[in-house]
Amino acid sequence: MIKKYHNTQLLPYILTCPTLLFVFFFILYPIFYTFKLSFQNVNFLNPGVTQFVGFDTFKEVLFSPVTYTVLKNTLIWTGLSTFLVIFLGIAIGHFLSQDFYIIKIVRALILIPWVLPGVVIAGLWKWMYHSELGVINKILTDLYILKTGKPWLGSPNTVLFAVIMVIVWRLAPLFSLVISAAIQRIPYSIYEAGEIDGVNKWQKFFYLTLPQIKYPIYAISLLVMIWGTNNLVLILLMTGGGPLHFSETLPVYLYKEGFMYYKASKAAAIAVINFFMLLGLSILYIKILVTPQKG
Amino acid sequence: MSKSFKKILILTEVHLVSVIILIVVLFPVAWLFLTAIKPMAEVQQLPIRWLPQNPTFEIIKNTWIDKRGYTTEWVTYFINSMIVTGVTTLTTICLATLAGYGLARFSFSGRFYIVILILVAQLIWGPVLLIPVYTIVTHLGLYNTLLGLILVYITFSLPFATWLSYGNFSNMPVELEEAALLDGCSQMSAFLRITLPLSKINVVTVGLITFLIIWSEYPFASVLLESPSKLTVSIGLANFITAFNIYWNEMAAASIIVALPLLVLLLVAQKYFIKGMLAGAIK
Amino acid sequence: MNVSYRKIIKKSMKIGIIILLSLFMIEIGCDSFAKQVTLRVWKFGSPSFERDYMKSRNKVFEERNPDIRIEWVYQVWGTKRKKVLSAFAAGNLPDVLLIDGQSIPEFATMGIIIPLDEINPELVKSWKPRFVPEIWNLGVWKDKVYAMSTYVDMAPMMVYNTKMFVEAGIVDENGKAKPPLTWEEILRVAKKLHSPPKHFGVIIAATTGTNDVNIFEGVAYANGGRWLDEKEENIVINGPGTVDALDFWVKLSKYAEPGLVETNFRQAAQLFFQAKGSMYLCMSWAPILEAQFEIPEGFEYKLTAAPKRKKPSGRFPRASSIMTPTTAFMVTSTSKFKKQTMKYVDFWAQYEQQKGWDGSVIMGRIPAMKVSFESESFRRYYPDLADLYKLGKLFEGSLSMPAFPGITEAEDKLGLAIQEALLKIKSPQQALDDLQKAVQKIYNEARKR
Repeated sequence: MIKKYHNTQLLPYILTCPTLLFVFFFILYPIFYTFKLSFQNVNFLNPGVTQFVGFDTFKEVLFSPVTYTVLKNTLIWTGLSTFLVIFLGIAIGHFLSQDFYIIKIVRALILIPWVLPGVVIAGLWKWMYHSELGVINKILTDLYILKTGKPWLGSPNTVLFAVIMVIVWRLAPLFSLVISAAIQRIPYSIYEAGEIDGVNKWQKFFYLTLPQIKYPIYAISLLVMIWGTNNLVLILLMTGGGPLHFSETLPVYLYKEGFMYYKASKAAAIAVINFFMLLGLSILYIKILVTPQKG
Repeated sequence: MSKSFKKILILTEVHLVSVIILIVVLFPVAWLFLTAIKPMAEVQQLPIRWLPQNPTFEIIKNTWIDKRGYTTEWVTYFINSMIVTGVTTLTTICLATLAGYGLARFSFSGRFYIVILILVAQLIWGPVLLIPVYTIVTHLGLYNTLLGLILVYITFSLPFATWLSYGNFSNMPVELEEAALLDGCSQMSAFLRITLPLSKINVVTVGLITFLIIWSEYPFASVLLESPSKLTVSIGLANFITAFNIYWNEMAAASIIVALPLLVLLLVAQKYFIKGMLAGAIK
Repeated sequence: MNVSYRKIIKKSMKIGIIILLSLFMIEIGCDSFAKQVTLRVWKFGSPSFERDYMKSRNKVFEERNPDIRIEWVYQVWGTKRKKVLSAFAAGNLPDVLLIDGQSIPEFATMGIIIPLDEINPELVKSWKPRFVPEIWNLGVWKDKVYAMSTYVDMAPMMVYNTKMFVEAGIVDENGKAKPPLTWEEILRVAKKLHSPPKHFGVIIAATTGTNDVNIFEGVAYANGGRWLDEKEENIVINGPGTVDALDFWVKLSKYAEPGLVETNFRQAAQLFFQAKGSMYLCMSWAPILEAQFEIPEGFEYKLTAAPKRKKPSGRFPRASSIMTPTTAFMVTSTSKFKKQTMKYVDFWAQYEQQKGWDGSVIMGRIPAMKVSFESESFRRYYPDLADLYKLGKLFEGSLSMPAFPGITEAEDKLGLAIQEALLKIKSPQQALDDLQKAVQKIYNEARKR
């Protein structure tokens, strides 16, 4: 039976309604609620206590030295991982844009790190980084690069970088695929002019290829930054933010304050900070997306 | 340099680099498999050996069925994950396709803002929303229920799925539908009979990406679920990783179980994954 | 026609409702005649064979008390406080908690547990003479009996690899391995036996987990350090006793495994039992952990008291050990079956149930009942301890592990302070000064609740 719609003007609203309802209830309203919570003194252990305390909770967060360590870590984590992902993504992506049989095989297999669940990756790398039984230490000592195994995840100097390596391992292959697809889209006509002028490999890359993939690169950088700022699983399960907050980023800080120490309002205040970071990055990303790409 | 010699050189270089990339990317996964078939004594012995001397599939088996022959809680976890992921994926496909169609085909007031909203929502969701969502779900009485988690998951996969559908329908020519409309079909029936069958690829892509993300999700699951009968596969694995004593081979075996459905999907439906990711990064 | 149908439907609905209501009333009535009561019991921690032993005794209880069923739930030790507090906030605590005695002041102040001697004073009085007084008192707070204990864990202890000692020539006149008795000695021995990566001088567990922190607290208390002053008003954790203990800990860590801040007590035990360290500073439960690992051939070890500073540098008297019952029976304030829970606790207050901990079934726990110490099995498995007990010296100078409202957060912060000192981020004095300020606040607030 075909129903007749009296007013076609209603149809789009009906179609988008369920989606909007979900987004409203579980994304928009929670954001508003987070802001509200951050101005209160709620603790999960004392349900019913919801006093308005103005900026007190924010003061508690901003005066705590842990917050600054966390912010610093988040910036390093986001910045360095993005830089490495882009760098490797471009390098490997360029390599993968060539037409060889074996490269087709690589392109197929290279998605595996991204497909693996975060929990699996966290467990796997925690195992590989193990100071006694980890395979990374084994390789490094067998190759005589190190004398004895180092506690990569247990030492303040190395933990953040060890964790960054993991997210780079996970994301760089994916973006190299994106880059290679983008490179393959570049029309040959661009290169023709260069061939006539007799450019070499490097000039071809820097002056011809790279500018053509500028927009995908910007888009990916922002996407990686957003994913990085949001990532919780990897650090939480590999190090728990430790040792001593040295690998703690904003989401991990948020999780611990809210669900281990029960300080709901403090966690909400941290969430507000995280939210503004995300909002800024999202706006930049959307701007890039809606900018028309050059021919 | 002769041309064929140059060719061989290039081929060698390409193969060498490819192998290096493959090793870096796949070695950890291979190590995971190797660990899962080693008995505990070998896992802990030093110096570390690459290959197991007495490989055994007992450990993987024991994740499902323990030594006394009873099924373990992992069967429950797996079923829970299947239910949650399956329901979420199906619902998301339905709602996202409808919404994407609505946004693509009709111009109505507020459309632009809705599109932007969807984009922003897709990027905002994450740990930021953990606390309020936990509180809201508890107030709704859905704490520690699969339904609560499903509702939350649907919300999180809808924006990206809608975006993908929106892109798909925007690129689809209107002529076929218009022809159907002229023949006297209503808008919805034109959609169901003509547009939808043409969007099979998009539907599959949306389904796969949603499945991938939801199956792997951990933070919200760990916060919204509590009793052993409700936990999902990612929580089960996380418990292995954060235990006082980590039995690495058991953890590896459980990891394989958690990862296997996704690896199978990847094998079967590669191009859909790539298409989905590309759509997210470039228009 | 329709009208009469409607009348019939309405009438049958009314009858149906009356029947349902009366069935419901009968059900409620039956419940109050206590047909079958289910006691929810939460057991925290313990290795599986210990829990299996307890479960087998539970079955005996159920056979003797057919109107009571035991619903036994195992909870992990690591998140015990979180588990109890969130259950308390959600209103679904169990009837009985089997958890550590250190939690008593906190739980009592928050109203989570109630004194056993307020439910059934005669019964509790009848238990008291069966128990070693020092252990009995661990379940008492503010003169009320909150818990019945089954065994205690003591800190600080040390296990050492006798083979390594003999091979390195660290022996006494009879050629037997000679364990270090003082801080100076252990530093010397650790240095001598420290040969990474083959094996380390000493294994130290230094995560922020409570067990790891308890081990350090044992060392600090033995050196005259304390959390609280005599009046129980001020936090004095930054006194010289603790500062010197932390300083010693930092010195000792030079000869320990490099990843010590990510090594918890179980992983540390694993390292020791695989001959990766010549000594492991631990607690009395070390033998229990032995049963869980595959020990290499010819491995020999001994359990003894941990080395102490020649003279305590803190202002409080030396505590020869600190202890707490880690499976203490407590009754929650929200239990609806207090009579039945007391029956259950009384069952476990019998020697018949507790004798498994004299070494015959479970090794590595110090039993709570006097009778256990005088038994054949105890003498067979722990001859040195049996002698000490006979001389009345076993519990001489033993104190309770620190227990005050706010202890969980305090110990968590102490764990962090220890790490700060070990990772050389702060000096021991500085780390403990900051700790003192933070915990003083926590303590003041926790007491108010």
